[in-house]
Amino acid sequence: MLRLIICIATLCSTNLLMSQVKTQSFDASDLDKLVIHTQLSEIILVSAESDRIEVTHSLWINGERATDMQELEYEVNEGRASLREVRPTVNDINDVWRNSDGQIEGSFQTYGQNPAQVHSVKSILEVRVPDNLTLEATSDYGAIKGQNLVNLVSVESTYGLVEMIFDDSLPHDDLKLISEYAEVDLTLPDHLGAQLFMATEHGDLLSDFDMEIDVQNSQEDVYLKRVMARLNGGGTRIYCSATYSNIYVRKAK
Amino acid sequence: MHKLSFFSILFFLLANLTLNAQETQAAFTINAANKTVVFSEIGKLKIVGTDANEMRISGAGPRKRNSRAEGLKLISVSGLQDNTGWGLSVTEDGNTITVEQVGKKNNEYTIELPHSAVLQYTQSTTDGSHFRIESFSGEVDVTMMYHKVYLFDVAGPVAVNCVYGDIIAEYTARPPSGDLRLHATYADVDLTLPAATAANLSLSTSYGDMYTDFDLNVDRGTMNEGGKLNATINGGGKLVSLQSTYDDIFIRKK
Repeated sequence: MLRLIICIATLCSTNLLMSQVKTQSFDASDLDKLVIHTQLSEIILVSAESDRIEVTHSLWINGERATDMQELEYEVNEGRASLREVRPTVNDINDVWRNSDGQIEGSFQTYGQNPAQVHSVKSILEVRVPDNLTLEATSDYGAIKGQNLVNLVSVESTYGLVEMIFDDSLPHDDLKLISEYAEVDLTLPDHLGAQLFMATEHGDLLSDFDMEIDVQNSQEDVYLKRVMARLNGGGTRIYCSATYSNIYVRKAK
Repeated sequence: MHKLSFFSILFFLLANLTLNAQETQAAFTINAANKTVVFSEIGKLKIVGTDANEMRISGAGPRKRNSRAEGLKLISVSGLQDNTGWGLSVTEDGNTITVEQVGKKNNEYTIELPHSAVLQYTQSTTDGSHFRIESFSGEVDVTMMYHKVYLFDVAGPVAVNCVYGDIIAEYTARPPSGDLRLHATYADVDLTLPAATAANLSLSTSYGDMYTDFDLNVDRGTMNEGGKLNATINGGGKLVSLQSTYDDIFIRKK
């Protein structure tokens, strides 16, 4: 009976959004964790002193606002909320870009502008996250950016930039920042301690910190670089990986 | 008229963007006269001889600007520091200057090297690309694993050992003034000399062929030594030792 009640409660709390979302707000007072996933959208994470999750989903195709291809799915299950971008999909955009010969005449662009590009897509999912929520974010093509998210635990993009800024505090727990094909750019306070693990196979590692490199547990050969280093004596563990691109660790100004 | 102006402005903006994306960076210089200069594991490198006393490091073309990297230094486990601004570490110990790559090896360098210097080069990985030396009169010692080595008017003495890459050497005006040793294991050795070059040839291949358009005066005593052949051209002179264990040897007249 109890199981049945829990199942019904879970189903009732599942909020499936099929509308063309612009801005939505969700009660987060009973939540512990938020997991966000997009296929195309750049994710912008903003820490908020609030008990609500606020979401703005924006899409421009070839410079024009496109509201008929936005779809988000929001589910809650046992204190864990999941916000997932259902549309636009890669196929949606390819259909727009397909010419009369069936060729696709564009490429995905989730940040910046390329004047030489015939077609472009800019899709942004901005999420204001209550600062007490544990947070994970993933994207297939989109960049993921955020600032001062002390409960952030994991960020992973396959093709997009990962850019996280911590001005005056550090994550409370271990943090993973991963991009397979794009850069990882991390800003940390210059006076707080952290333990870094940085890995790239085809990129460079760059920093303006005076790092204490753990030479025994680091590795550098033809392509692979795996560096363990301490900042200010060590502290919060932060794992950064950019297999095909650079990792930047910079001091907050 | 309006269309013309529009395209003119567009062209100007695009040209400006392109220029901004590249930067002109000052060359790095260090006195290298009469010193041994060791180049270790550098990706894409061209050496050009110079009468000056300074070694001058610069890029082979405009360098792409990475705005994210501005103000940051490369992190290296080995402790190497980019002290040239070109992603290279240059250190000096007594009479030896060592040049090493810091970070990934996809930059292309042109380095002017005094003729009085001794050049030593080692590349042991698949990283980077071929190595080229032009118009250099100093001593040369090259060890290359995977890529090709090109020599143009490198007076010598020269010793090049390649495992998988071809060795292509060409002398356009004058023959080598020192001994020339070009040895490849699994690749061709291809040498072009002025027609009047006088040299003692020592040729060796186990599984390849030897080709030439020179008239060789063959030392018959070496003909039964299984792929080895000693000969002279134009009466003999400096040693030219060419070896390709599994591939061919070419000696051409210029």
